[in-house]
Formats: sequence, C-alpha cells, structure tokens
Amino acid sequence: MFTKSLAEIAITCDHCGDECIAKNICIDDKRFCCAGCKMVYQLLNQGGLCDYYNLNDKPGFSQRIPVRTGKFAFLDDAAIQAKLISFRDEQQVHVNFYLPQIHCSSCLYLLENLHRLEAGVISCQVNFTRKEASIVFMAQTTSLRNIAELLASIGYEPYISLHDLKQQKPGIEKGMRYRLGIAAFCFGNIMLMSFPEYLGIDASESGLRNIFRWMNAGLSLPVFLYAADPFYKSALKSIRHRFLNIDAPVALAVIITFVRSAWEVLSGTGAGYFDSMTGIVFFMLAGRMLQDKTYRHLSFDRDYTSYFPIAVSVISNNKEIATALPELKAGDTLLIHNEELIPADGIITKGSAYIDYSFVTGESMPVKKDMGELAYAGGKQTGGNIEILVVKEVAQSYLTALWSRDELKAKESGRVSFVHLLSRYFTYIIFGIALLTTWYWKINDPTRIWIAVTAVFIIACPCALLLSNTFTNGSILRILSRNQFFLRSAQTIENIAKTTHIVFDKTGTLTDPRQQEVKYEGKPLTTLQKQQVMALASCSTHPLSRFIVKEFEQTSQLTVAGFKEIAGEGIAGVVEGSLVRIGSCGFITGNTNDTGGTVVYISFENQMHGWLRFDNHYRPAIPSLIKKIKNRYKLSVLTGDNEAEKQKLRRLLGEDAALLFSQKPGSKLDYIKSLQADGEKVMMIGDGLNDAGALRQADTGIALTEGNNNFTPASDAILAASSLSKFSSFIMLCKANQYIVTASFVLSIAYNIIGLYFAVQGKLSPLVAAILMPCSSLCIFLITFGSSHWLARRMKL
Amino acid sequence: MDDSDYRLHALRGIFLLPKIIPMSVIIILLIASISIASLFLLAFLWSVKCGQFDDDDAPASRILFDDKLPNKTNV
Repeated sequence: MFTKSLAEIAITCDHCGDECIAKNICIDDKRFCCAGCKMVYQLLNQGGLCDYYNLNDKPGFSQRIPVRTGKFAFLDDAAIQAKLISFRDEQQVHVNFYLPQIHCSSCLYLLENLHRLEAGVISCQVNFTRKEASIVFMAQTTSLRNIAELLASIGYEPYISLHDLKQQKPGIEKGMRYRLGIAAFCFGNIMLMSFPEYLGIDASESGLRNIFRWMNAGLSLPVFLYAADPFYKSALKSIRHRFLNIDAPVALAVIITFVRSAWEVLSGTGAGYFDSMTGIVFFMLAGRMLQDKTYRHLSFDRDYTSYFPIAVSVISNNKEIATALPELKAGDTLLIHNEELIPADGIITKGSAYIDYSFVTGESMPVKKDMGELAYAGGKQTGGNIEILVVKEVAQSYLTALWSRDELKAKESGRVSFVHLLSRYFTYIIFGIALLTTWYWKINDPTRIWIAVTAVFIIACPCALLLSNTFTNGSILRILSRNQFFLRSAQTIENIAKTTHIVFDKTGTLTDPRQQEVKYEGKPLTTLQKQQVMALASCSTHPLSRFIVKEFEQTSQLTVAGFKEIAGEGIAGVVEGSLVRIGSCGFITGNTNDTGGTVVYISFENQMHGWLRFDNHYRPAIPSLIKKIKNRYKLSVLTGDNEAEKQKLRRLLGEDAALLFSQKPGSKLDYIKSLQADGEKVMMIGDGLNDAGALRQADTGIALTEGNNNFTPASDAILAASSLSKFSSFIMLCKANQYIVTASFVLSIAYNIIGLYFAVQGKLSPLVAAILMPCSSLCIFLITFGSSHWLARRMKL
Repeated sequence: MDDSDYRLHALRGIFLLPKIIPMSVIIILLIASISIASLFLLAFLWSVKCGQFDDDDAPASRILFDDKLPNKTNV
C-alpha cells in the first residue's frame, strides 16, 4: 500500500502488521493498531506464549473488527454439536475445526499450545496443509462453545459452515498408499526370487525351484486380491454401464496372468508370470497416484453450503434463538448482525441493510437496501443489525436453487476420455489376434491353444496405454499446479483441450475487484487537502475509502476528530480544523441525481469541491491474453452490469465476440446451455457465486481466485489471478497432452508386437516378459515425463 | 569338472548357492530376508495409518519448537 520509505516511518502493529493510526495503544515495548490486537497479546503473555511473536514477524491478523459475543451460541445446541463432534465419551470430546487463518509456524506454535490458555484442552494438533486443528478437550471443564470463542479471541475464528452439517469427511487416499506399498513389496521380492528362473535353474535343483515358485505364488496373492482391486472395481462398473473402459482389459489381463501362472506352478510346468503381473500392477498404481494427486488446500466441490453459516439467530417472542439453517421456515424473522451472511431470501423488516454481494456477484461495492425491500440470500450485511422476514427456505432461495437444477446433476456422466476409446479398439484387435491364434493352433497343435492364447492376453494388456496416460496426466498436472493452475482431475486436461468457445465473466474476472481506476474531477486539490481527505478516508473500512487512501498516498498523518460514518451514504470528520465530508451525491449536495457509474463527492466546510470517479480496472494480463486466443476461439463476455462499458469491451475483445449485459445467474447458465446445444465445447471463466451455475454447466468451469485461501465456487479448475497471463500456454499444454499420450503409446506398441511374436508361438518365456515389461514401463515414463517438461520449458511455464 | 563348469558355478553363485551348501540354509535365508522385508512393509503401513503422509508441512515446523507438546499418549 505504501512505498518502502514510508513503511519505515510508519509504525506498524506488532501483532498484525497493520499501520498504527492511534499511537497510544501499547504495552511493554509493543505497539498495536487496535485494542483487539493488544488483547490477544495480553492473553498470550499470560499464557507464556510470546514466542508466537518471535517465530515470525507480525504473524497475527487484525482484530480491529471484534467477533460478536454470542456468535457461537449455536454451539450450545446439542443437535449441531452432534454433527460437528467426531468422537465423544464421558470425559473427552474430539472436534475438528477449519481455521482458514493458519499460515505460518507461529500459528502452529500457538494452536498446539492451546492447553496453556484453556485448562480444559487436552491437546490440539494442527494439520497445516488442510488448515485444520483437531482439538481434544474435557467435557466437564469446558464446552465446545468456549473452545470456539477462545480460538476466535486469539484471532483464529473457526469457520463453521452449513457444509459441516453433512458430516462428509474428505476422502483420504490412504487405501491407495497401502496398495502401492504392498504391491512394491511383493513385486520386489518376487523379482528377486525369480532370478534363479531367469538364469536357468536346472531340474536337479527342483526342490529349491519349487520353493521359489511357491513363494512367488504366495507373494502375488496380496497383489492379486488386494492391491489390484481398484482395477476390478472400475472394470465391473464399466461393464455394468455397458461401456468398455480401459480398466476392463487391464483387469482381464491381470486375472488371466494370475490364473495361468497359478496353473503353471500347481502343475509344475513353469514359473508363471507373477513378476510381470505384480510389476505392472505396481506401475499402474504409481501412475494412478501421480495422476490423482489432490490439492488438499483447495476444494473443487464447494456449493453454497460451504459459504453459508451453520446456524442463524431467529427472533421469536423477543428472544434470539440459534437455529440450524435447514430448520428455517418461511415466516421466521432472522436477526442478521454486522458481517453476517443472509442465508435465505427475505424482506427487510428492521434496520437499514447495506449488503455486500461481492461473494455473489464479484461486485465490490455494497448495495443499500431499505426496509420492505427484498434481499437475496448470499449477501453479507455490513453496518448495523437488521431483521429479515424469511420468504423462501434456504434450499429454495434464488441462488441456492441454481444448484438443485436437474441438468447440473446429469453433467458428470457422458464425458469419456479418448484413452478409453483407444483402448476399446485395442481390445478388439487383441481379441482378434487371440481368435486367430486359437484357430491356428487348433489345426496344428491343439495342446498349445491354452498356452498361446493366455500369453497373447498377458503381453497385450493395454497397461502401456494406461501408464502413458496416467504418467502424462500426472506430470502435466504438476506443471500446471506449479504455475498456480489447479485442476480437479485429469479429465479436465482433455476438456480444456477440446474447448471451442471461451466465456468470460466480467466483474472480478476481466476486471480486478481490488483495484479501481480513480479519476479526480473538479477544483484542484492542494497537498493539505489531499492529506485531509486521506486521513478521513483511512478511518473507514469501506472499500471505496480504501481506494481513496491508496490513490492519495500521502505521508503525513493528520488526526481526525468527530469521525462519523453513515452506512451507504458517506463519512465526515474534522481534520486540521476544517470539516471534511466524503460521500454520495445526496450526502454532499442534498439532491440525488444519479449520473451513472460510481462517483464519490468531496466537500470542505460543506462546500462541494470535486468528485472522484471510479472505473473498473481491467487486469493488465487481459489484453495480451485476449489477443493470443482471439483468433483460435470464439469469445463471449457475460456480465451482470449495464452496457456502460460496451465500447471498452468491444475494443478489447474484437468485433466477433458476443457481449451480454445485465445477465442474471440463471441466464448465464442458460447462455452456456444454448452454446452447448449448438455443439460448442464451452469453457467458462468466472469467480463469484453468481457464476457458479454457469461454471458447473460449462464443459470446463474455471474459477479465478486472488489467493489460495479464497473461497471459490464449485468448478473443474482453480486459477490464480496472477497466472492469468500464462493462460494461453496452459491451454496449449493441455492440447499437447493427447499427442504425448498417443506417441508414447505407439512406441509401447512396438514392445507389444515383439512380445506378441513370442506369444502367438506359445513361446513366451517368463524372462522375455520380465525384460519387456519394465523396459516398456521405463520407456513410457521417460517419454511422457521428458516431453511434457520439455514442452513446458519451451512455453516458459 | 572342467573349467567352464567352475565358471558357470561362479556366475550362478551370485544368485544361487552352490550345491555343496544344504538346501535348508537357503530356506532359512529366505525366511530371514522375507521377514526383514515384511518388517519394513509393516513399518510403512503403520506410518501411513498414523498419518505420516497426511501433512507435509506441520512436522517440519513443529520440531523447531522448544517446548514440550502435551503428552499425546493419553489422548
């Protein structure tokens, strides 16, 4: 916010690093910006936890806006408690809290020493990656509400949303790790015990040979029965859906290899192919894991329940009762406090609402609503308390109803990776070769049918295709995530590659909500006047005030007397002896003629001096990005705003782009649907909740975010705004994915042909199989990894 | 036994013990090696179960704190 030299002069809070405007809040040798920060320090000082400040410089979060007392009253409700608590007995209660503020080792230190601040806490273990704290406390000495309030008081307010009610713990990929470990163990040992066989152990040592063979058979059992079961399950599922996916032939090959090998060992005719079977299962599992790497700090499945609070205060008989959200009924009166979300569509019955819809629309400016007006769910009240009469239940509210639309539920099925189609042809060819082999040996030597045909299936399993696919996907996902572009799954890579039409949301996507282009018009301001305006604006937390402070960047700090803020109108105060007022046209001049756009007026001593015009600030990366993709894709822009910026957008996007204004969330979704009906593969890039329906409907929904901690609507991919300039390269890399997979697959077919040459003759020795399998796997790994990284380097990713 | 036989034996001796050594020794060796390997496998499975791979960042910072954390065995 300030230049470097300024930062040295300005005194910053030792707790949160914000600038100290009031100079007198200090204790010991520490200075604080507000009473809240000071209180946290005192609390930590009592607990002997001041290492918190030594581990990191200014690790805290600003406590300027205190947490409302009674905010966690709903935690006394037994029904809500039962949903949040993971375990409880006579003495102990275990609970997991999501603490989005966790960001450094100081946080870890403080939270894990929570027992020093509250005697009832037995332990607190932080999961840094997931930003979660698992807390164990004694039910007798303290309560869930106490714990939540304690956390809030030290600056780590637990984020408890409606989503937590569902009790869906994120799936842990532990099972995959168990399988990989077991497969690796068995594969390694079987390989070792197969060496005598490779080197030609002779029949005179038959006792020893049998021991090795039986050991191998025994070791392959856990792989066959446990480690490989993801492939069986997926194969079964695909057969049930009457669609042959790649796992079906893979599972078939694994089963045939095992049966054939077991038969050989039982009958004493050979050693079998246990080494190849376990090896391929191990490699395939490793590829899967690489591909399915999850980003635990991100969530792709957020629907409105992750944004909405778990409970809200309902007023009945003049009493506030904390009520769980699903139990709200039309006709209830809700009390919405400052900074709280409106959970259901309702009519404002008391107080003046000043609603921040930035979550919903991406629009940074709060909207004023008067008594009797309808407030949509999803907005956040700023300012005083208001009362709302619920019109529609939570699940039927305007925004939330978007999620329950039927067409969105049907989306998941019907997307098929090209790999599955390729594998289907492959399977047909293999069955053809197997039939030919059967027919040939039936004529020539019927005893060899079984040997030859099983060998064909063993060698021709499309595991090479599966490997090249998973390894390529895995390495591309890694490259993209290194560049702050996180995909939900590997299928998204293909969807991005197939895109024909890109739809942008305007507010918050093309424009940067955190910045505004500020233009001053009117009588020129002197330096003193600029300082006065800035001093006054810095007292307010309104977004427009912040932009003014940023724009005027003045050094000296004047003191403001008699500061007054009228929500939705403006601010006033005495600075350097003169009355300064900043605010809306009506606030300054008295008459309310709306000139359009965001304009803030300034007056000194009640004399209108000039006005500041705020314009959308387009992200600097946008013009060059549009230029790069303009000729290759059809473009559209959807915005909830009016046509004020039509000319600007037209210049930016060119003549062919479709520009749609005044779009409601529902109409955005319908626009995407109409494009899809014309056969377009649509990619939607948006940010707010109002885009959520369109993001879900689009073939690829990309949510733009300013930081990893921000909440993003449900989407297929999450893109950091800072990486927007590289976006065209990301698309190129996703397109390259298919070529890399195909190329490495063609190469691995060469191995298959060599193998088939032996197999159809019924001469496939375990040694040939054991050499071919790792060679082709290694080769695939090198090609996919090498080429994707080479491409990424060429694209400067 | 001619020269080539010895060479063959030497080559195979890397992986296979010559016939002079009784078979029971190899079986004991096999059992020993497999059980040691199993111990490592168990250690791995145990570590997965305890959440060793769940959080990559916290333990790295946690080890630097001087104070003793609350005793987790009574949890």
